[in-house]
Amino acid sequence: MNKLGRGQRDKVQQFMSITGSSEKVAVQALKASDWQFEGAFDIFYSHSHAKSAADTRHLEELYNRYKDPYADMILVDGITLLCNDLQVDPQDIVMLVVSWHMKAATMCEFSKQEFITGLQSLGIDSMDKLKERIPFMRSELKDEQKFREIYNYAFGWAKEKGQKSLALDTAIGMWQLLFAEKQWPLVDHWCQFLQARHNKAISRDTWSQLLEFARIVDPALSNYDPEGAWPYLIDEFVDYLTEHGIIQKGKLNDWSYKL
Amino acid sequence: MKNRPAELIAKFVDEKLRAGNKGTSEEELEGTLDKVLVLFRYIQGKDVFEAFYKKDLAKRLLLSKSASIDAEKSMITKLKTECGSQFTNKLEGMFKDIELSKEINESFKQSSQARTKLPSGIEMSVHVLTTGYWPTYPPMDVRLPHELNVYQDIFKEFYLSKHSGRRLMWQNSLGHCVLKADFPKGKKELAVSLFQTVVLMLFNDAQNLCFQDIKESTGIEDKELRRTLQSLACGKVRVLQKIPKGKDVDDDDSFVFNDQFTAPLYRIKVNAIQMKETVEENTSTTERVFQDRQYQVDAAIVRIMKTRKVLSHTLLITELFQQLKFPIKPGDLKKRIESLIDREYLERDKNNPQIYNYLA
Repeated sequence: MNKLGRGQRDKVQQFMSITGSSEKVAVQALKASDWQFEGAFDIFYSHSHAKSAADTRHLEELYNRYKDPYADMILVDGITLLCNDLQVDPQDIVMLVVSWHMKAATMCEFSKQEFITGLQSLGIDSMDKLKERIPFMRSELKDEQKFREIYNYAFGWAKEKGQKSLALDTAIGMWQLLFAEKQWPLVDHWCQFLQARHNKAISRDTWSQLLEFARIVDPALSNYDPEGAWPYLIDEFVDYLTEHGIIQKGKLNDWSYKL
Repeated sequence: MKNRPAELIAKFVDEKLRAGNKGTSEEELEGTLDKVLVLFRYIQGKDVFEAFYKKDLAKRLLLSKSASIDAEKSMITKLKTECGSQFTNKLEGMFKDIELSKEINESFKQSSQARTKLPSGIEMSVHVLTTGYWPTYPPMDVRLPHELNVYQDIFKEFYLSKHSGRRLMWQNSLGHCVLKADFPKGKKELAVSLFQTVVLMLFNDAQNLCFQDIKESTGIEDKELRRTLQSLACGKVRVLQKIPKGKDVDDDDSFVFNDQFTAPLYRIKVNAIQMKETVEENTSTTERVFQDRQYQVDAAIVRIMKTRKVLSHTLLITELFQQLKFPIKPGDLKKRIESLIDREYLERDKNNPQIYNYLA
């Protein structure tokens, strides 16, 4: 500990307070990741605890607390109870991150397998530990790479089982939630455009390309290439923006909305 | 509409190649066709031309209305040099069908089946058409008189004994017949459609029939039957009489054999009443062309990607414009690309969304 510089010592303290780990573990994780928080958290959460193999029987008891009385799954009521225990709003985007970690196939559902192996791989064996992990999960949304993975995962998670595309209403709801996190000034225009002009389900390709569009093309569209491979719906959106005078010659006119 | 010139050029060629165009010599006709081809080069919707050309060619071949088979073939050769054999494959297939049909009819006449089993007093010739080469004709039901049924069955037996595994379907709406009619004021020969024949033959055994009776005994679809009766009782050549008189056929009309019928000629053609062909058929031909284009775009994308495996969006679009023979907007190409992504023929490259990968 003495060998550590002051900045490093601060980081160890912070790391310990977030993860509740011992000093030794904190130093190991931070050293292994070159004193970057992100990497250290990953190491800490994916390795050290996973190995301690949470007791399956204990997890099964936990599962039974939320299990639906009529099916071998956790359904809406179970999720509501789970959110209650976590003191998280079921509409909170962090529930998407939880589901992403647990590789849940469908929104508002956990199979027994998803629930138990999900928690195991997170190294979590009690609700308290999961609750402690929530702030970290929320911070994962700030990571661009992780955000993209979560965003793309959200498509399959939110769509109806057996359907290929995502119902428009659900898609709009998810976009508003996700782009509240990663701010994209055109999101409200996009949703209005879809309701006015499209009114059909959204394909996976359009879904994933929209994030790229929001990421790469600046809100004034100055680097938008109409000859590019953007899905036709996005091209039509650009036409719509110009038609409605929202964008003019590479300038975004209306900055009055949520900034 | 952009495809109008293509349609009109096809119609013009039809007029030139149809019989009754006697005034022009072979050389003159050749010259005209060459000029047409110059125009043809400039039209963008070559597929629209093909669809209309094919429909008219079918009529010329089936009704033996073609002025000269040599001129027909020369036109096909010109189209082939212009657009490649893919464009003319089906058209050439139609000629092959007609030639083969002649041989089939010959050997049918010589066959033991025909010599022993055929009802006497009827001659029949059959065109065997390959599905896919010809325009599609909607199937229409009709209850044939016994003699014709027997004839069809014997032919079918003969044909399938030569070509097992094929399926023969009778296109009743395309059939036409020549009937001998004994009118009190003179014998006549009537050139009529198969539907007209089926109706007229009912009057061999009856003097007076009401619309419902005719409908029941023939099984012809309502609208088609009304048109058929109109042509026999309300047109120029009235071999039947409608009671009460009038232009349209109503549910409680009845029909009698016209025993007062006279005509200066021995052989008479009873024209079928044309459907509002130009509007209905025309839009359906155009619609089919647009449907086909979608498949052609899909096929072209898959073909290109199958050879290239990996290709950027821009290059794919460029290649598509080179391959496709009709005008299309880049936006419409995008829709087809996206549909193929959705159906997992293609995927976007994980690292560069401007690049597509072919999924085998």
